Amino acid sequence: MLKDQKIYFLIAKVLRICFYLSFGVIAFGLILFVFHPETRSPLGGKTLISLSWSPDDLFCLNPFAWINVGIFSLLFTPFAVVVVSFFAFLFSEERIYSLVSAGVLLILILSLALALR
Amino acid sequence: MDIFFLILSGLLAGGFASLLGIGGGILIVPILSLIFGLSMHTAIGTSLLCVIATSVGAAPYYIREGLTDIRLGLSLELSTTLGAIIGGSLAGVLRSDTLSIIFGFLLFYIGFYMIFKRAQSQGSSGEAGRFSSYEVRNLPLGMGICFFAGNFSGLLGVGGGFLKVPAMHYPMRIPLKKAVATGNFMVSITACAGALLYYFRGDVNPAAAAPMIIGVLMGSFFGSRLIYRIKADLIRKIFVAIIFYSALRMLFQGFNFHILKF
Repeated sequence: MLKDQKIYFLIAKVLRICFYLSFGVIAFGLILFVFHPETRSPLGGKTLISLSWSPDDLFCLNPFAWINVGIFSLLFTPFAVVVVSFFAFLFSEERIYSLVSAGVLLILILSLALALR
Repeated sequence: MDIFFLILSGLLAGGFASLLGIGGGILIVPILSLIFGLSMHTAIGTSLLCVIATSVGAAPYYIREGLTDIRLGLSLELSTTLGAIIGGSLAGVLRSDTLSIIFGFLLFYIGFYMIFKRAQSQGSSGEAGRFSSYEVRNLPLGMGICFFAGNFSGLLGVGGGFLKVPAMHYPMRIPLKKAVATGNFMVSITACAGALLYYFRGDVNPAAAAPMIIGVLMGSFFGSRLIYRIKADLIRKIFVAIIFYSALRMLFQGFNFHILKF
């Protein structure tokens, strides 16, 4: 059975890992953006959004691909936190809070489904 | 050059947010909209990403200090995230100038809230800290208020702490420090529910968001280290002045009165 402090430290750890990951990737993408030969103003509209980046773009050091990956990891950090909370409460036999976590996760999935519609 | 100014703006917004214990959204949206000329929808979507970053950056510290009540935070998120989805969907059908007007009124509310909060904190005696025990009261009322906090978050790209924290502190009787820390933990989940809608609708400019996020995170880092060296009262006065000025500018922008220029 997981103790209270263990659950909290686990969630804090997940948050910290996700934070450093997304911050690092976004910062790297930004550095690539500055030195990109076709760098233009970042305020040039919505054309930079692309969900079709591939691993090739990352290997080719495409700044937009790296920034998008960083933003994606930031966007999915709350998902990771809620999933970890769900399992942590489940294993510590706190059924109410594992159900609450599952409910929040379902709402986030609903938001994603509405966004992708 | 724009990148430099975006980082600088994020630095200032993050610094203010950290020094005053607020989310950065109420400063980031006016900066992106009024100074950098982004549409309200793009400014809000981009701001939500910055709000997630600020929350994710600060939350581990609060959790390790034992200040965050994760159980309460997740329970309140049941209604807050629903509110954020409705707010984010509503923003998709509202005109940019309508959002400007609503944001202007919200800024006025926050300006008065900051003045009221100051008066109240001067009058209060002690504050229960991390080791205090407490009993959560009026959970349904708290969830109801948090639903509207989520609404504002999804609609206007703010964290919603200005509603969540008072809701936890007053009707629910949660000690203020715990309420602030729990509110901070909740913000990333709430903002995520709204940000997903903006992101996939195309209302986020990642290349503008990236420098802003880096700036905000650096600002929060430095802000938290300057907190004991800078007079909080002076910062609060400057902040309230900026908020009221931004509120007027947002209303002018919304009503298309281009009287003032930066």
